Amino acid sequence: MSRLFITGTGVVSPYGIGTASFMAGLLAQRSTIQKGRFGFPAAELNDFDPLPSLGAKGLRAIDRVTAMILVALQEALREARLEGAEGLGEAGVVVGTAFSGLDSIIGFFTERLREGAHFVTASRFGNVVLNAPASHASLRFGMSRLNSTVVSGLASGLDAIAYASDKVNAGYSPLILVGGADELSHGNVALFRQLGYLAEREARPCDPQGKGFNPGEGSAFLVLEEEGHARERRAEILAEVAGYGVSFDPAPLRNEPPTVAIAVRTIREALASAGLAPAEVSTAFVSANGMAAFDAMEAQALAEVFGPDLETLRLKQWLGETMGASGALAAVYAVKCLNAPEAPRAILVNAFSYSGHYVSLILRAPSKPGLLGGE
Amino acid sequence: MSQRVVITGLGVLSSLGIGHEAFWEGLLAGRSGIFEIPYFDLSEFEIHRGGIVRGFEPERVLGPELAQELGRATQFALAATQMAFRDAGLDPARLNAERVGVSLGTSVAESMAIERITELSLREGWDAVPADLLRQTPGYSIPGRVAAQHGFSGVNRLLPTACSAGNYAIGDAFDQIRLGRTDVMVAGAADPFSQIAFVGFHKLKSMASDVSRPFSKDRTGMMVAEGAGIMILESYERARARKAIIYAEILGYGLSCDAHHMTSPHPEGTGAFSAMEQAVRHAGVSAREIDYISAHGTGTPLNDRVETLAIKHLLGERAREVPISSVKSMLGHAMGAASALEAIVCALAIHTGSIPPTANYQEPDPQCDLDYVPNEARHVPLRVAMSNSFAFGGNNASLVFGALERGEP
Repeated sequence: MSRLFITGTGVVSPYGIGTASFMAGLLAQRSTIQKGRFGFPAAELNDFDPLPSLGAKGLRAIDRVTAMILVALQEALREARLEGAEGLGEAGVVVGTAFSGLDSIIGFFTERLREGAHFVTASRFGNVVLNAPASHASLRFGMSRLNSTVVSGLASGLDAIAYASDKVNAGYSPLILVGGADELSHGNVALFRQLGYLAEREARPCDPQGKGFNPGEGSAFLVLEEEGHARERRAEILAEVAGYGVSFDPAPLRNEPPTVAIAVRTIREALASAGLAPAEVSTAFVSANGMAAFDAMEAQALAEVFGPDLETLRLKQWLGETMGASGALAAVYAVKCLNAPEAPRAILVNAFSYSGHYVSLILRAPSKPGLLGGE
Repeated sequence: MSQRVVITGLGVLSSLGIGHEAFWEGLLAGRSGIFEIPYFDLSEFEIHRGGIVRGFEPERVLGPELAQELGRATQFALAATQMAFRDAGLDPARLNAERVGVSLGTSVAESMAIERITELSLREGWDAVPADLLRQTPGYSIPGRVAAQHGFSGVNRLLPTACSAGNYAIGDAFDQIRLGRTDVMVAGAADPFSQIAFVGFHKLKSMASDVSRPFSKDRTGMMVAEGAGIMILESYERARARKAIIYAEILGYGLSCDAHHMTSPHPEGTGAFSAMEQAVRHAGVSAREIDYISAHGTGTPLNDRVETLAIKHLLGERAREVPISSVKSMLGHAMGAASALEAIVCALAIHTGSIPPTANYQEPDPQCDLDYVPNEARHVPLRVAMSNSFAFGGNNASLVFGALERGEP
């Protein structure tokens, strides 16, 4: 298997567009959670406007979550020095999302009910399929290899990275734009409300008294590149995808408490595929979002694998639970942290979803240039 | 690593019947699965028919409690999975649950539940939408529920790539076994009859006025359908060790994106060609070895012309010698499930040495001038078959299947 590198990152986060505001906000540990347009505490994208980034052309054909994806993708392409580059034709796109354009589907059917079947807007029909955002991305940037949408609950973004890594390894494309995105929509807000997942105040990840999460929205994309391809175009290597574990816990759907052993297996699979011993990973960005049972399960699994010395960071206390974006946002933050002075050598990122989808990803700092082969 | 991956179990819910036996018998006989649509008021439409799954009793198959809880897509997926395990001679309870994964596709997921929620929210407000109905809607619960029913804890994901979703899901399942991550994969797709899709295709004027006639000169479009197709995949070594019946081997797949238009294929078929070309390359076969192509063949004027162009590009001078058929002529277009059902068609074609026809074929079209197996099934041994699926968003996926013993090309 070839090595897989991250050579670009881009985000749309509650802090704004771009990694600069995202990094500044998180480093300052500034919470983005406030009472939003749905009337409960959430980490929303206030005043998100794709126009300055994307221009007016084609904007009317896409929905909001697609715009979030296109903007983050464009940022990632820019950082990787691939914006407008020749050769994007051999690139692929993988979008992780829990709900995709759910409100576009509801909106299309609302139009059908209100105006009648003959009066629906034909161009809106293209957005009712869950792969519409990914397809718009390929369309806009001319990427003609695989175009996949990965839906794995709140782990969708991280699972998309695992999926995309498999596809690069299998030779489907040497360059994949991969990430995750979700927005608050009438559909998922109603779902979270009815299921009692929403915290009434600021959520408290890892607190045994946690009473749910603050939902958030966002989009994060990474340029995933096969070693040879990255070398050939002399790309700056920001991090390496060292390994990942993907599993499913059947317990939540059976109304049973989440299974620590499956989380342990997921983390160990990530370590094994990275060829790392637990002692070689000192930092974890945890999945904890305020759902006490899952937070406790994750903490127990981490303790079992790493013992007491692991440093953990709870990003969702500031970013909220950004659903399909959460794992990808955490991965982007990890990439940036790995490039900071005195950074850890490797960071574990977890996404353990209430839906039972568990993914662990290990990102490693770029090796010294000398070790990368004669640069 | 790089294990051979074989198909050992099939589960089918289709407009031509439940179970692969009824499905195959109906297809080879050229029967129609098109019936009056029973699900919603059709007074606004001039088309009243579609591919309907009849005689499906979720209460009996899943038990009343579970059936009540689940949306129709999930019911389909669970029932077809049970059927596929039975067909494979595998008791899911006796498998190593950690080493079993689920990879499924869909187009609009629980479309019927989303339609009801939309209606209720408009009439009575969002607070009036019951939790039970909302709980049915998330797409990630479709593969999740399948795994939860049997306790499987391997990789689990939904790949909702519209009409090519089944092929995307089967392709990923193939990779999981090849990479040694799982021993057994449940792979395929499910789509209930979607009023949303019906309204949309009606508006786009993509639907046939009477019946669907793929590749025929007088074709006017497709018929919306529903269904599910599930395959049990395992490594060849494992299947052989337990003396399983092997329908066919999956040799490889290809994925591409037109990057051209959301609802129309590229006029030159470049994306379709790319998916087929990659599939052949990854499968390690040459285009010369292809004995049969299960076409995407929607029956719309544009798709069938473009697909024909792309196939000619792939097969070159041999194009006229290779039988190509579209089972959508009989089943209707079951959206994401269509590609999974057509993958099953390829497995059964190789297993039985029979090719289902393109039904309703009337008149040759100069732009569609290949051998579409018009109206009559054909019986001929097959070594390599390809299944095409091209979706909204320009998402294309082709799978290549092989007979276990292929001999020398």
